[in-house]
Amino acid sequence: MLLSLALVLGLGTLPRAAACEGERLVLMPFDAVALSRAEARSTEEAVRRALARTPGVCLEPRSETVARLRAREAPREACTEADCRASEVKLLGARWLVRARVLGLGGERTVTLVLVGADGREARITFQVPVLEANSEEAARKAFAPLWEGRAPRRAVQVDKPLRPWPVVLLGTGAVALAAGVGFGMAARSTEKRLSQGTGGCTGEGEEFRRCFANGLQRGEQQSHLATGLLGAGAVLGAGGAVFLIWELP
Amino acid sequence: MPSTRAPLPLFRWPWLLLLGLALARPALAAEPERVSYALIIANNSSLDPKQAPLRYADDDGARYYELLAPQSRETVLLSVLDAETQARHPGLAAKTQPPTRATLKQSLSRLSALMKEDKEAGKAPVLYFIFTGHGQRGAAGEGSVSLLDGPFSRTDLYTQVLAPSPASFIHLIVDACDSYFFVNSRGSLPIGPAQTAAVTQRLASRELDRFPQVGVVLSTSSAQESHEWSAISAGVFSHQVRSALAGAADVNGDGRVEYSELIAFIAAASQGVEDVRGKLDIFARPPALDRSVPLTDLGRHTGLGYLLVPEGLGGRMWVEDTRGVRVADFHKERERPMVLALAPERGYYLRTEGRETRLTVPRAGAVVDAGGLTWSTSAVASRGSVEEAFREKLFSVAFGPRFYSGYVASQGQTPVLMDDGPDLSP
Repeated sequence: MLLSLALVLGLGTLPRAAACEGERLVLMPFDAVALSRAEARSTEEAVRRALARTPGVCLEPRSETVARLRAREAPREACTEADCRASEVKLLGARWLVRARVLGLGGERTVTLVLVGADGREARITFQVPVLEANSEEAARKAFAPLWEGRAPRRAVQVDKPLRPWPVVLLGTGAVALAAGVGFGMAARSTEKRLSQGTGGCTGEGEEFRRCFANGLQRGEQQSHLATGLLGAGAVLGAGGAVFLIWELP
Repeated sequence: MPSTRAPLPLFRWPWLLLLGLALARPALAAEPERVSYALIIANNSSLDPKQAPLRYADDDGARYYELLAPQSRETVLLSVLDAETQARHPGLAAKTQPPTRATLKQSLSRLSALMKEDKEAGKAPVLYFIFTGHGQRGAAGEGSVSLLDGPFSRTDLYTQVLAPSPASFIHLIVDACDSYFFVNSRGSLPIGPAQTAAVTQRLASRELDRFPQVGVVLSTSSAQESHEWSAISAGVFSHQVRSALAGAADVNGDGRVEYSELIAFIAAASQGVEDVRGKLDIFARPPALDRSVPLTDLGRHTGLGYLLVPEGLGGRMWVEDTRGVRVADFHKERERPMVLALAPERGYYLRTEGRETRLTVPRAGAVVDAGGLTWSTSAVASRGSVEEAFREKLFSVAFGPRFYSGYVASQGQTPVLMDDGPDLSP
């Protein structure tokens, strides 16, 4: 019974299969200079794949980003102040925003990425990608990695980390053990009270009465030992579960 | 009688379609490769003893050379650089020839031979013919420009440059007094700028219609004082043209600077100047053959590097290299990005009122993002009344899509297609 209860408690805290482990990031559709829309889009797709592969990044799908932007009533104006940028990040429901531009200058293809944090602060990087798309993704991954690693300290970051189940399993098991210990303790107390007030429910005389009374005493002693053990185990499990739960909290 | 031929199996149609597309592709992608050539004539001196020598015509020639040489197969500079200019541009004097009629003729012959080779190879040669110096108008009304050993007249221009040239397009840029009469033969210009524009438009069509591959950009000012400004050590008109060609006039971010963009850029740059001596009047006309032909295309493979001035940076700004050569001026709207082409492997300062930042363009093709640079305080000095007018008013009006759209509409010109933002398709 205890095991099944703990299992139920544990399963309730398991993460959803599709949940992303990382910080939510929105990559804005690319601006282009001296490049056609189709060429800019192919570079955008390569950079998008590279960002999606970056550990710790939960990249919003392009369709969702585009839907948000199209839903805006006013045409998009470029944010030039930190406050404006911060409100834009908030509006997009993200922790991080990446603005990007691809430039087709001098027969080469250059990408500028600007990583905007929730406080509106910017970090930027410029890199070249091969005109042939095959190696663009790798070039973008290499360029974005240091930008991502150098972002704001983790303590200031809201991490969307799913809670792991075992601290709660420990807590639940401890709670069940404590409850059972309390139950056995009450039963032992009841037995003790019954035996200390008269016959303790035994009838007859002589040897028969003595055996009945001795059995009652033994049962009460067992109940008392079981209650003590369960209370101790429950306390240890509960305390351990509480410690690990605090450890696991973001 | 019914046909005995079996119908083509369905699965073969896609292959036939692909074959058709493959055969049609060369026709669709038929735009030939453009190859640029530049012939720059820069002459400080005048044949007229009453005209004082110019100070910065040779500087303009040197700067045109540095802008165009990395983009061109062959660049010729006919100029005698003064001591100051030679010090500013070390090594350039060795590449120059004197601006005489003979060297001009030889240069034209050599460039024509190269352009013919390009034509035979299926390429489209483009010639920049640039003159900066003194111009004058003869008794018969024919304009000419001064070379060291004699005048080079409008007739010479048409018979020796425009008519025999095998170039697919010729961009004629002239910064000289009375340069209008160097290109056009008849008529006198009224004083009012609005009337000037109307008359020049009508007169120009008579002369240039015979050469639909020729586009012209001329300074029509007659006041010598307005031509040069010591703060930039250059002619004001030529400096504006170079700023525009470097990319400051690219209003729609397609990397190409068309005639309408260049004209609007210069109009915005000169808009605030109220001192009549500092007023610049220009005349420009794109080649009738293709009014959208670019004067410059930053997307082409060249030997230049690039400075990206992103959104958030705006106002009146200028770029100066570490030799003290003012490369470009512009007044940028904060809301749009801008790209400037710069010679590589050189240090630059990007300056605005009271602030500056240092940058280096490491190599050809490299892009430097000004948004990531560190700024510090700086000071700018100037002197003189016309200097003051230029310093305060030149480039005082922001150039961007708003100014461009209004200006082009008022002039009845064909506008460029505006950038409609990022691709928001799913």
